[in-house]
Amino acid sequence: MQLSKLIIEPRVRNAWAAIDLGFTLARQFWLRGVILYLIVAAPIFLLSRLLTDEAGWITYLCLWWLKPLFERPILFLLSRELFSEKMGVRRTLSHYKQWLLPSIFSVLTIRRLSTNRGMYAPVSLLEQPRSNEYYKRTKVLGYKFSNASTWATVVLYHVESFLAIALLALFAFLFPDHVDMTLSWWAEVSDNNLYWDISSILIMAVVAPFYCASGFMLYICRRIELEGWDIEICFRDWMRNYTPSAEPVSGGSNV
Amino acid sequence: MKQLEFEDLYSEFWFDIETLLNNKNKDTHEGLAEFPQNFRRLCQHLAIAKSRRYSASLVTRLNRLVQQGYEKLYTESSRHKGGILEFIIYGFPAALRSNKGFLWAAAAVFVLPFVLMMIAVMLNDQLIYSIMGSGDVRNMESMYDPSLRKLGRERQSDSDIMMFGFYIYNNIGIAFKCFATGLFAGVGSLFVLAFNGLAIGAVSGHLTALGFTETFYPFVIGHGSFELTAIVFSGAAGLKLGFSLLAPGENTRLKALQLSAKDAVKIMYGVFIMLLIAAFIEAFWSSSSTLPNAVKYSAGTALWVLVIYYCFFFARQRVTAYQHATQ
Amino acid sequence: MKLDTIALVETPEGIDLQAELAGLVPRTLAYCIDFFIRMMIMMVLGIIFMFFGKAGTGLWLILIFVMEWWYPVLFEVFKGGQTPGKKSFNIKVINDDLTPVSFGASLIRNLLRTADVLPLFYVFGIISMSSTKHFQRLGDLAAGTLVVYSEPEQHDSSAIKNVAAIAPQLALSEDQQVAFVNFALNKGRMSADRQAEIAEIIRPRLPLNTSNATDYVRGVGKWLLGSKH
Repeated sequence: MQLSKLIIEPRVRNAWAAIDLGFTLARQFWLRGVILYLIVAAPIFLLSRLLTDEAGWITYLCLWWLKPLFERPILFLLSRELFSEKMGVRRTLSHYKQWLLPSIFSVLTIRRLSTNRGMYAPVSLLEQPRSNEYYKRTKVLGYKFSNASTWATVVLYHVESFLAIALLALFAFLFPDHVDMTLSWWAEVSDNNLYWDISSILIMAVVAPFYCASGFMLYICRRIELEGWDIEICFRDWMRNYTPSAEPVSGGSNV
Repeated sequence: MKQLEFEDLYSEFWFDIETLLNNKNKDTHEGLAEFPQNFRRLCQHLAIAKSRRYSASLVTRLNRLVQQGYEKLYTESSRHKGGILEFIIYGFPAALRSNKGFLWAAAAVFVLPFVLMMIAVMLNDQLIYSIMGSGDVRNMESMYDPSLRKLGRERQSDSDIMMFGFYIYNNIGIAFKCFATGLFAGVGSLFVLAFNGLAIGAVSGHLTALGFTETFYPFVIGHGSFELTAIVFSGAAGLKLGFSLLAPGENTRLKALQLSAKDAVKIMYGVFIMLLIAAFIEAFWSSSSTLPNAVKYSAGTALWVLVIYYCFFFARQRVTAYQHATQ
Repeated sequence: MKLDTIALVETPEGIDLQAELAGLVPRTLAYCIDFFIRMMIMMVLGIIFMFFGKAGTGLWLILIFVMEWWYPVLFEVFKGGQTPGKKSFNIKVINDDLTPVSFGASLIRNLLRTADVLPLFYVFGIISMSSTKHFQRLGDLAAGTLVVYSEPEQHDSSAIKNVAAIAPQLALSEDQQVAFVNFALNKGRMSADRQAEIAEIIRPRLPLNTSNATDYVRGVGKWLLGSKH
């Protein structure tokens, strides 16, 4: 980890500003994030569709439950790009062992329902602590930040649903003959409908980079604070120009 | 110069600026005349403090002063553009007259459907149902049916107030939305204008065909002068927004949009005032059933003439001069 | 250029001013608070107006109109760019040249809410805020306004209460001064080990007789904050 290669400005930020920075970061890597998400999520989605032909809700439950898994390649990419390491889609996929395996079992079980999922996902992926250390670590990281992190999860969850409903409304507006907003139609949608399937997985993919990046920036900004990255970077820059021959006590004070 | 000497030399000056900036009492104009000059001096001090690497606390303090001063300076200058009265006399007519193209376009999109629909409904009385449900049509008929009018009995004043509230909520809301949806390349404004033209045209045609003329026209003529024109104006403002995106000219789209919005919102101030007046007339004058129709017709005509004259012909030279002065 | 969420403006006097932009999540939550407040006002006054019959209905409709269109404008213009919801998140609306929001700009951005709300649930606004550099919704773009965090909180100087200020023997750049000050204030509550680790980085720069690098850096930080003893 070379702090000088950070692509973000290492400032001490409050939690909300950290989430905002996440949005800026997500914009930078958005397209790659969406593609990675679809590459991982689409086959699993198709497979569960084939296996559970009758009950559509099971597919959707699977899709929702496996979100942390789908988000992992994006998080992996961000964690490398953050330190200026170029990660294309293919390169990220080829490192699958590094993003797929670490703590994946706990992430999909006991850690799945945490509202701070986004902020703590980097802990599982990058630090890979044992379970009792995990709780200590997340407690330290979550101090002051877990509140905002929870709200980020809540807001982005709603954004996802709003996009889905809005897309539906747009369909209804453009093709009024094909869509009737009745209960039977809703039931049909949740059962088996190709358009609905495609649009829901697309919407999840579109929002995911923002959620990953917000959580990741919450995590990074907290570490900047806890470990004084901003100060360390400044001091190291200062030392880089230092030649031992120069007198440490400089006479150049203007005071 | 050492930092301490620097601070000693100017601390009084900074203190004066600080008190001026923190002065919440807006009436005192003391020290305001020299403020721009002092502000530039303050900026120099900040630049010096930064370049000589004086301590962070001093730089922070000066930075804060500069920030506050900047806000103060540029708020003062933007606020000083005349009051409401000046806007009503010159500003609003000027805003309208410099956007004639959009006004004509909006008027056409409103009036043509209006007239065509009115004629069509008069020729074919089933057409009204393409715009309104049958319940609404029956309601409207009974509202203007002369045989159902209880002549001589004034509507109660509390229902006047209710209708006043309704007109404000509904009509001004429509005008605001008509403006805002112009952002989508003008499509929203066109839709609102055309739809309202069709609906009002259909109602007029239907009631005329039924022969309810002596109840309907005296009712609408008064507030129509303010209401219908204001809707057209809001549509014009919306079209201006949309057009700036379609044809930004030399500017970027964003810049063109911001410039057009700045101008269009002036029309919207006027639209707001006009619709308040319209709601007042509609609720308390048009609805009166004691006033003879002759009075309503003549007053209504006078209002139409007044509105048109005020918007497009009143004080031509001075409004033109104002237009040039504010551009 | 490192990624950041800062809006920079150069004044005509050649001074750089900056503001920290606020994005989708805090703004959405601030909106929810405002929405709740507006609903409460409409409900409470609605119940009171019920006792005034039809006139009450009229007044209530006017109230709805005011709450829908003028509530944000009035607060933004007369309360320093802050509706109650924005105030609770410490954010405010300003013009994009960082001056207080003007009446016209506030009205434009709030009238154009109509466009942001479409097609449902502010979806256009959400997309616009997420994809523009300055987190602007459509209304902000047209009005030329930004939503930023207001003044940062006053720093908590409890961490340096017992530290002796030390006049630096070195010429420090602005960035370095900030680093010393942040170190002294210990903004992130670094552990003692970590503090020592960072302070030791610049050991060669410190006076030769410095025994404890941490204390020295903190002392200089305190001095830079304006304390001379």
